[in-house]
Amino acid sequence: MTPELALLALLAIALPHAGLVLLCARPPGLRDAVHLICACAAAGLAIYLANAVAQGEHARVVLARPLPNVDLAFAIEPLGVLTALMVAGLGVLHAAHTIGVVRATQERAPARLMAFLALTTAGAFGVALSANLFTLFVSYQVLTLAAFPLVEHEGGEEAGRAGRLFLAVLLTSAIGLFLPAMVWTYAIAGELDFQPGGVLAGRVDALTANILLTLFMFGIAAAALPPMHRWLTGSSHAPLPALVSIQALTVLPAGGVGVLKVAAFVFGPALAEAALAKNAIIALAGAGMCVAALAALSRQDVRERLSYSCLVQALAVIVGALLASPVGFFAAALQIAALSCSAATLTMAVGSIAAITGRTQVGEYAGLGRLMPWTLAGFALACASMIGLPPFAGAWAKLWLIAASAGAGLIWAAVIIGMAAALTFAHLGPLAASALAAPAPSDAHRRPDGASLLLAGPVILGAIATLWLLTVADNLATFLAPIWTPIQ
Amino acid sequence: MRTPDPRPRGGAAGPWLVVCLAALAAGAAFDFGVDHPAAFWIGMRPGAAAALGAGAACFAVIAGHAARTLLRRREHDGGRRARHHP
Amino acid sequence: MLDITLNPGFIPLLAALLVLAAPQALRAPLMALSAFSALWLLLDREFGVDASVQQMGLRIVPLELDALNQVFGIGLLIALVVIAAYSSGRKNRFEDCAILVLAGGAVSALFVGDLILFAATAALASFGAAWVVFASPLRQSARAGVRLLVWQGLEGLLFLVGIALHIADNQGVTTIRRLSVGELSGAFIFAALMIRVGAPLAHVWFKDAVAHAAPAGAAAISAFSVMLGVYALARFFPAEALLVPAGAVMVGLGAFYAAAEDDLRAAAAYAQTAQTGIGLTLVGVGSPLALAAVEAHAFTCILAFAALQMSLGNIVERRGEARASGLAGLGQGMPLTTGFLLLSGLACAGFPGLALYPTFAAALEAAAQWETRWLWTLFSCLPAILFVGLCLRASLAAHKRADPAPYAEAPYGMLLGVSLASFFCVALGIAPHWLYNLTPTEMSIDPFALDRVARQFELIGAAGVVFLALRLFGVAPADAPTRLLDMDAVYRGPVAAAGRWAGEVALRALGAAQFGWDQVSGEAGTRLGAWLRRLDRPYVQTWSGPAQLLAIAAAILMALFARPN
Repeated sequence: MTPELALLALLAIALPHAGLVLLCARPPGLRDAVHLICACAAAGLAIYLANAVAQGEHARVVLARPLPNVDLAFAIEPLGVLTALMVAGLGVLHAAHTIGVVRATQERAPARLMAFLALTTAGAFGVALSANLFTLFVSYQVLTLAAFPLVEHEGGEEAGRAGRLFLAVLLTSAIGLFLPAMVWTYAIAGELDFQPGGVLAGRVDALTANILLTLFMFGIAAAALPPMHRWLTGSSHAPLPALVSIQALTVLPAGGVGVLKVAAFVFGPALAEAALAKNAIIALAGAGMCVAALAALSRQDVRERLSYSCLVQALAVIVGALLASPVGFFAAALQIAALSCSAATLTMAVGSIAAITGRTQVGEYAGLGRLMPWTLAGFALACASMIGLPPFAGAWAKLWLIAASAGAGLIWAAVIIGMAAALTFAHLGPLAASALAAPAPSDAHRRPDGASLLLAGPVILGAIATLWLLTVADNLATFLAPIWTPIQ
Repeated sequence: MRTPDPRPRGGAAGPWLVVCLAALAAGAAFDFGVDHPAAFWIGMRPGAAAALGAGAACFAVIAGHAARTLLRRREHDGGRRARHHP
Repeated sequence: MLDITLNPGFIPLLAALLVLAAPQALRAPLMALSAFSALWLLLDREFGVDASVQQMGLRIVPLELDALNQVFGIGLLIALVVIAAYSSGRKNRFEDCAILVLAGGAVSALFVGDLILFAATAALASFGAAWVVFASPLRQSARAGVRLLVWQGLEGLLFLVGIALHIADNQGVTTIRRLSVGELSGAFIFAALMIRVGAPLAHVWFKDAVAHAAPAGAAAISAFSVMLGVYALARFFPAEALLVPAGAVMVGLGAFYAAAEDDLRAAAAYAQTAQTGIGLTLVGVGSPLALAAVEAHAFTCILAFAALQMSLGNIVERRGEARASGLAGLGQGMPLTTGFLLLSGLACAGFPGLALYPTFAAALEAAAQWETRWLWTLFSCLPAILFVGLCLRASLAAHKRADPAPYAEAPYGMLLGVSLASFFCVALGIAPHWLYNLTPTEMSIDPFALDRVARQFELIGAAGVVFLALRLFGVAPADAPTRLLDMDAVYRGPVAAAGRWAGEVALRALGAAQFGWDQVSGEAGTRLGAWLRRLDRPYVQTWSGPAQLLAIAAAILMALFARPN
């Protein structure tokens, strides 16, 4: 096995995965086994690639060359491989959880759901491992088109509306904003490859840099920068396995990675030229964090509340990426990892609770921890990480974000991040606390056999992953070091 | 509701009175009788401790009355104002 | 001799995991053993930095020992031994685990040498405290736990922001050193510590937590939560001027409520707030004697107030609550508990020969200057007020006859715990010099000098005589079942309502903005659709279509071929 082969295999595994799941729809056990085995295989490939990058190896795979210096190419580099590892690793837990949920809820089209989950994951791998802007753009479209059926999987008016919104926002922004920015970048630099140090470094004046940065940031709508965030909050009623994928594993993290790649590998030091747009977008993201956290407080449906909470965390990634410092880039990367772990755990826990008890409202969670202690313990740990409470992983991402903001002279950004963390605590803290500590409800279980291992196990392991992230933060910093460029 | 009679009836009031009088007497006797280092202010002069103690007791009584009058929690309002969150 | 480089606080944390699985008979011995092991580890080490690692470019110091944290550590670990004995009198696995997490987090925080680990371990202690309250079987404890979590979450976030700003300002240096409130990072950390010690406006969390915790939990919260903040202030902000007025207000506020509260556990918590205020004030004074007095005073407060909470906990265990208005018959039914209550109340009031008296004498000595005469006067009055509020009131109520006396004495384990704590109260009161010798600065005062002892007897005696006289003449208020308002009524009432109103307004503004955006984007989409449909009808010639297409083509060509100079 060579890194190139592993890279190709990781990108391509989704097709046989989706095909086999659809072909082996009956019996359900075979379908579920295929789903889980393919997820494990993807995780194994991602671990192999991470190991290769840690050993200093390089790999680049070119699938097509539509224009001079413009390849459809994928490459392994620390940031992309880390993202792929998070997606694939958590994807194994998600696969097991999906199996549990579809069985518990008697899902009517489980094979189709699993197939599109696999394709969406492939899209996320493509975004993470893209070697240039063109590949990022193509992978992003694949991701969007693969995730759209997940959003409107339930069918009906509301799901259709959410699906159309999802498609409209992501596709329109990509084609209307990201594509012109990509073309303009090609016109300036003559190439689109991602480079540590930035492909635009020394090649743009202030006006061009400001406009390009604005086009890129709003063009990557998966990063959910307001007003391009509506797809996220609108998709909160998708099936719960789909919600885990969209919010925690694929679309939202891919948006964050896309923003980080553009900031680090396209702009690099040229971000200093785009000071006006940079500060304005940071302010917008910061304000968006606070408003989203406040909006979450008003939502009584747990899924809606979580979608706003994930929005808060995703906007923190944008702030970190635009701070244009090694510390900011590291903070953004760590925030993506922490978001994936905690959002996946939270959403899986919500899915388990909904599958077993039918409860989806905030007020209905009181006391459930006494009946489902493991699930709610995982839920509480993930909440603590999401909020940014020490000593959980999310706290260190926020610590570095605030330190990077202060180091860049943006004290107001540091204070806004702190305020957003406080508001996140307001909408998640009491929810977790009352779930654990209130008297047990007498009528909780809709299913007489309670939560199966497939429903509780992934939540517990996800919470452990959230804790484990804390212990490997130093290793992550060393692993990611090559993506940082000292600002001239 | 009939306010309970605050006057001590039996119990420990008597013994405490004796103990406190003895402490006051012994303390005051030594305070006035023993040579002191130079007092840095009036509160360290002989007899000042008794005045402070008396003042403190009056403060405690006033605090009790003030708290009951001004800060007494009304039970029916407590239920209305303390809304459960979330 | 075994050379183990391990923060002593990690041992109770490890024991917390074991306690979850241990049978009831082993839990108390396990707790005590963890405390003894941690003590042995602490006393076996030399002062200095014993371990440091690099994490994410920051220097993390898991263990740094000096005279300051040694004093606090010994006090907390002795308290853990006492609480372990006390906890053997009841069955509550989760509370035992929570107490160990609280104790382990607090002790660990004392001995770490960098801000990151300090924040992490202090947050762990905070979670332990919240869990202690959640594990309480008393009414409304779950809501009290949520309120505690809110305060501690705020404290944790303030710490996080402060540390992040500190890292940014100091090129990644995070080792513990003196900070300044004048810097933004120092201000955030100071605000966090003010919440932890229960400074005015934030003091309500402590009495709320103690009043709703179970007996052992209340003693644990009393011992392990606030004093960590006092240590941190002495470490990070010695001689900080803001601490003097803050501490003075705490003394006054605590004394007021300690004298007025019917719930004796809340009254004891307020009394501890007042004693903590003395500590804060002395940290603010900042002289070597003042700082040494703080350390010694914190040591004795830990044990004396633990003893008091345990005595009151005995009453809660049998009666469900410990209100002065409901203590009638206590002396008949629970004579031992009544005796310990009296003893611990006298200790907390600084009665000569008991725990707080020698350290209180040192505190008075540190404040005995013309510039701090009002502080000295305030400190001097506190023992008298606490004697009246905690001791006399409770004793008079307990010895009222109630026929029949329905309650039995507290369980043996609880009596053992409270007697151990009382033993330490007496031992510290009679022989304080071993404590004086532990402090970083040698304290050469003689607490048993005749003039000091005489003044203290005179003070307490006069207060007792006057209070009893006022009671005899019906001037002093009777014990009546009342609940008092404090700042938390403001937070839960007007502040919460204002927050909800602001949230409503913000959400309506957001909704209006979203609606407006939807309208604009919908309109733009409709017009775009109409324009596209017009392009699709080539037989309808207008000038605008080709002109628009030409404009777009020109833009694309410029983008493709324009180069910056």
